Amino acid sequence: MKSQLNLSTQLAWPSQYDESIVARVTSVIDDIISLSGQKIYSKLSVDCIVTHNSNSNNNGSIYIKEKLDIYEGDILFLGLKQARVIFSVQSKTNSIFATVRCNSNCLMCSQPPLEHDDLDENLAIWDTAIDYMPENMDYIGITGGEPTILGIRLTQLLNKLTTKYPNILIDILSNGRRLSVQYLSELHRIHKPYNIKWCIPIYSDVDYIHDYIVQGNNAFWQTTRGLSQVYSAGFQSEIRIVLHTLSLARLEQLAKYITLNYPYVNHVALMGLENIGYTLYHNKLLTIDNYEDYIYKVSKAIIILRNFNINVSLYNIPLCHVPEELREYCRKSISEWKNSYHSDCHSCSKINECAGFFTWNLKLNPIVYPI
Amino acid sequence: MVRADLNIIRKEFRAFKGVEHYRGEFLHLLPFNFHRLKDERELLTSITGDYIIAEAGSVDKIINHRSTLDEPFIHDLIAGHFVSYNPPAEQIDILANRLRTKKGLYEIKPALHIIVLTLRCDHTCSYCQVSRVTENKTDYDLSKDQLNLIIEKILDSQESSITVEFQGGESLLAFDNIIYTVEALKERATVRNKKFKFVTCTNLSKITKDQIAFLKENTIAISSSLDGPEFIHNSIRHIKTRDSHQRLLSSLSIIDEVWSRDYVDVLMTTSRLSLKHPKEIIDEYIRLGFRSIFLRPISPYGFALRLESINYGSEDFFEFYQIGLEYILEKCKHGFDLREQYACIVLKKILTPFQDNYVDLMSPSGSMTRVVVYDYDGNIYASDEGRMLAQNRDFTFQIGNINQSWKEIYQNNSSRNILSHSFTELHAACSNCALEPYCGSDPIHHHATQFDIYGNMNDSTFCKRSKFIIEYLISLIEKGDENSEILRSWIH
Amino acid sequence: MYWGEKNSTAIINEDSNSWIIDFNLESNEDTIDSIEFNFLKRLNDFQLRHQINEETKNLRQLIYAKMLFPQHISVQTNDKNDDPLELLEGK
Repeated sequence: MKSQLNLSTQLAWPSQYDESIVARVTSVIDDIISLSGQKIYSKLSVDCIVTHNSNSNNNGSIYIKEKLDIYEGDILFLGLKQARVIFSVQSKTNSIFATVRCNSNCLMCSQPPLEHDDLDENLAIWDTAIDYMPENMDYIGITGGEPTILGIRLTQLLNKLTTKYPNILIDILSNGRRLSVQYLSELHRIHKPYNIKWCIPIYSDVDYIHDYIVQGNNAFWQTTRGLSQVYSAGFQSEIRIVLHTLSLARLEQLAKYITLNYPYVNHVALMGLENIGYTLYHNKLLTIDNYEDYIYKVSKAIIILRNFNINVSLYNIPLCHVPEELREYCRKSISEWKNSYHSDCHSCSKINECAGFFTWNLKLNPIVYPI
Repeated sequence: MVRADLNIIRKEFRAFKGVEHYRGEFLHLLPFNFHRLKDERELLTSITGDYIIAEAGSVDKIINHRSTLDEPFIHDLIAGHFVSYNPPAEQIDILANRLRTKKGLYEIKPALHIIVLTLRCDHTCSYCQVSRVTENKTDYDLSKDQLNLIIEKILDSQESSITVEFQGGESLLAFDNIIYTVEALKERATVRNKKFKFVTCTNLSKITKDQIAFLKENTIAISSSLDGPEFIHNSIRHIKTRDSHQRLLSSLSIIDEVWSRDYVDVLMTTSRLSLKHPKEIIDEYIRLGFRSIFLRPISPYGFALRLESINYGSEDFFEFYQIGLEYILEKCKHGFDLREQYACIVLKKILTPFQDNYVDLMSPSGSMTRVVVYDYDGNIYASDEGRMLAQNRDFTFQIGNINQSWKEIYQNNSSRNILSHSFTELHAACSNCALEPYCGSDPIHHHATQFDIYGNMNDSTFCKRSKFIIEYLISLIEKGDENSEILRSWIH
Repeated sequence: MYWGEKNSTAIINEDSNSWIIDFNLESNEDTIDSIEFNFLKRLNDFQLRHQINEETKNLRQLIYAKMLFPQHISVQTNDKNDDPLELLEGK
């Protein structure tokens, strides 16, 4: 469905393939969206394809494939044929997308990596975008791919964020494999480590099983050393465990392993599986079909962690999919842009507190039990 | 062409490999020990203190027939740091971190400074080796000059978070000196970058409201004694008026009124009579609102050996402990809030990666490295038991006096002698004992009971007791029942 | 021998490589057979401990050294985790 996005800007539109604009929406009146921004160089290709006509006033309109909700304060990325909202003022969970590159190849990766050297352009995009971000911001995430591949650029962005927002909390989703060697010196150049939480996945207490899940040679020990460094350098840390058959098998043992070997970790997040990316390819291998076993192991793991005063959360899991005693751990974790609810959910009293589903998980026809 | 090269690399890199690709060929051994349980099963402990209980014959398989091990067991062994398919070098950092977390930094940095203010006491407890009932302050109290030197020594010591414990005799009889010392230390704390906690040891036979007010204002905790119900308590704690227990209760109620029971801790002395009444003692603790009880045997040396009333064997203690602990667990099931301290200390060692602060069960030994005692006459000892030995003219654990610098003290022959016998890691019997991570070194015990500071573990009541407690607690945990859950909840 | 002290004494024969062990009955609870059995069991266990020690003593030393002097000991580990583009560059 085509929608017209009318833009008003003084900017010269991109005329070449590698020119793009990062701009802040300054107003949305009727159908006219005003922008203020600057041109950068980027070859990034993204989801919504647009075409645009520019008239002599440099005001233009672009047609976008799907309706975008755009509000004043949002930050757009506009290329010759692309437009994307990269920062949304309405959202509490914005993320900086660091790179499509990754040095792991997890069996359940929801964002399969690409071999595209986007490090410099992403730095340019986000360096500019941070300037346009609102005056106050409590939280931002950094995702990818693997952010540490950005190297010194990541440090630059982090320091820019903590300078502009002294009280921000930044979550970095990383496999942690570079933190003890390749990224170590950078780690010590990051200001205000207390404001930054490294969210690092560990999927098994057995090293080679973790390596198998992330498809990385020696990943487990590299990651473990990374976590250790992150702790000694004064950062906050979180261990993430995506729940599927392979990680569920020894989940209790993993919980115990965490209490003995990573007792300093601030938080453990147990996460529901996203039905997209590589997960689709490994569906049979990964999908959990024994519900009782799943709940039993998750409950046991939570008890073990809570006994050691480690905070636990359940991410991406609807309230009705867990017994009542576990619901206090569920969080509304799914980013707005990929969050949907089943049609039956609308009769549920707890819909506002519930994480709901990944939009693409609804294709699996889950059953819901409105509360 | 670069693109083609990239495609080749990408294809190989992004191809999914099976689990066999990531599992190494050879199963390496990491350092571990094993202990044979009574039912022939094997208790394995790794250098990190992780443990696994395996069926008989497992150790032999692990060493000599690795290919016969079944996969779930190998997984447990890998997770517990017993074996590894990956080269062990990958784990060295992590193993060293675990070991350091458990053992601490090997340094002499006493965090507990005990000041024996006076030997004067109003009690004449049968087991007590030091106190004197007397009015003579000059001979049996620390003078102000001596206190000043002690204060300097405390401020000079390495550790920055120090607990100062006032002992005696009866410390409250020298209350002026408590006031003096606390105020002096508090005044100079910030400048000397020190944080102080205070405790005073007293039988609580007589405490005034003014004294409680001072203690409250300066947050000085009270460590007292409760040996059980009246008939047991009074049989051990002798006072002219024969009402030690009643006096204790009166003092406690004044404290409840004016301050709070949260700052009062009680310990017990176990006599032969006590051994016959574990449940009554526990009931008394509950009745008086205490949430913690420490079931431990009396130190079987010197004085204690000569007295019938407090001389008993290990087996008697074990029976007492077992009945006592099981009774406490029963009470917990019925909602009472009571923990047994010995179990808490040992469980913390077994179930967590951390060390506990209990100085009598650590390696390197807590004597001297974690505690220091300033006696009433200005002499300095490696531990409280050490100063008691001196009463019998045994000065092995006297490491110096308050006129010496710390350097002089820690480098003299006495200190070196103590330190060199403070390591289970180096002891012939302890170094390959599987229970070593959960145990400790007690050179004073062995010196006093065997006249051998090195210690012969085959004959040692310390070793016997430690083994008993550890095996017993592990067996309770492994049952996986309600008792196990209660015990597990005690580690925090 | 150490752990069986109460029940046995050993005489070391200087001429040959053998130890002669005398078993003593200390109490009514034991029989010579059971003492001998326990002795052999312990012997076996200590042989196992010896094997573990042989295979792991260097590691043990290294771990203690690293624990005590973390700055002075550096262990070589496999830190390779290049992504395809870096592998390409590396070529």
